[in-house]
Amino acid sequence: MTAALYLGREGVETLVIEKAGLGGQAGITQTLDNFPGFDEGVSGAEFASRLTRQALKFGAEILQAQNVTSIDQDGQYLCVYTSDGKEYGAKAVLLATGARYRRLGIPGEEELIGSNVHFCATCDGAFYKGKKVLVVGGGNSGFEEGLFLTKFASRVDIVEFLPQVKASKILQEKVAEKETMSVTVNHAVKELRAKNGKLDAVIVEDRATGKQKEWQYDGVFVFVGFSPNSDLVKGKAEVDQWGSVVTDKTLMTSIPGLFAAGDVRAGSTKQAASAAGEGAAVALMMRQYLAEK
Amino acid sequence: MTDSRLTPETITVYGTGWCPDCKRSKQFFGEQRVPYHYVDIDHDADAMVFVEKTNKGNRSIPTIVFPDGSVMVEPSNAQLAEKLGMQISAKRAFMMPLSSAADRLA
Repeated sequence: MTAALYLGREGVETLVIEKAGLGGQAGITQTLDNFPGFDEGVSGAEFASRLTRQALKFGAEILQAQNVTSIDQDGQYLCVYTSDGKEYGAKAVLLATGARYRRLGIPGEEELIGSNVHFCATCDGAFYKGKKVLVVGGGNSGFEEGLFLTKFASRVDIVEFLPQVKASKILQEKVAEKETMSVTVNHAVKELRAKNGKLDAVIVEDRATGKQKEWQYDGVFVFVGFSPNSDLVKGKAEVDQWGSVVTDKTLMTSIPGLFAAGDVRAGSTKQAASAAGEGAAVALMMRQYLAEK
Repeated sequence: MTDSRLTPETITVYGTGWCPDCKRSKQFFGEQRVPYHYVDIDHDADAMVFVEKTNKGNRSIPTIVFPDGSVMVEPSNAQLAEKLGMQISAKRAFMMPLSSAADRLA
């Protein structure tokens, strides 16, 4: 979105195609506390809304609820295909598809996504007023989202696969202070048992003893890291071992005219401020590229 | 007396846990960050009667009721996007590297 407002302001015809909510991951963050210039923090929703208005003000056109199915080279142009069968052409395209929460890949997960398995506390936490939820993942995301869930749920437990959690000390202290939260380490979630489309039990294994246990929860929130949304260019552009898109010093991928910025890019820092910075930088690189063509 | 369910304060999705289109619609609202209220008609007899009454006796789900009183039954994502006023296709098919200010103002 930052790149769109920069390019729009420069008079470049700019089209943004977004599948989900505008503003990406930042838009679903409860509060952005460390975005420069917002000394009292700003809610992710407000930030996304302001960013959208700013891009529109400078002439960017924004499509919503639209899925890009393919990006192909056609001579010196790039063609972007969308799920409604439309095709858009441009000399330069920016891949800013971000990253998504990684899934557990265990039995029952797929079936329960959207009903009892969630990846966004801000989006779905309110459904668990007075209920008991399990957060899978002991990193910063798991702890932050777990703390947020205590606004609604009467009980929030965190389970971590490793023998120790990876969340920052400050977050660990905040969680320890909450009477309605607990942390269990060294347990692997093996199955989310479903019954009639609802979560029946969480099957976990104590990795120290190998003993299986059945836990009862109303809902499960999964925060076990990110996967870059790079499927569109896999097999076409160079990606690293984690699937992140490799760029050169101008933030251009191995496909001429296709740039990448933000969480999808190899070497990105997964921070809203750095994603915005990359957006501004890539806009200038794209302008330079277009000027030379 | 008018049924208050026909003019909810927030979008209300009537569905069940086993219905794939209900899941898709809920996912759509979630992804687009549109607040909604979900009612599982398998666990709410009154809601089931409301859905049947709204759909001429059929238990068609998802039945989605909007605050303006309109009702959508088994809508596609494109229909939901249109209902929410989202732009889903662009004005032009090719993006020019530089457009003149006059063009942009036109």
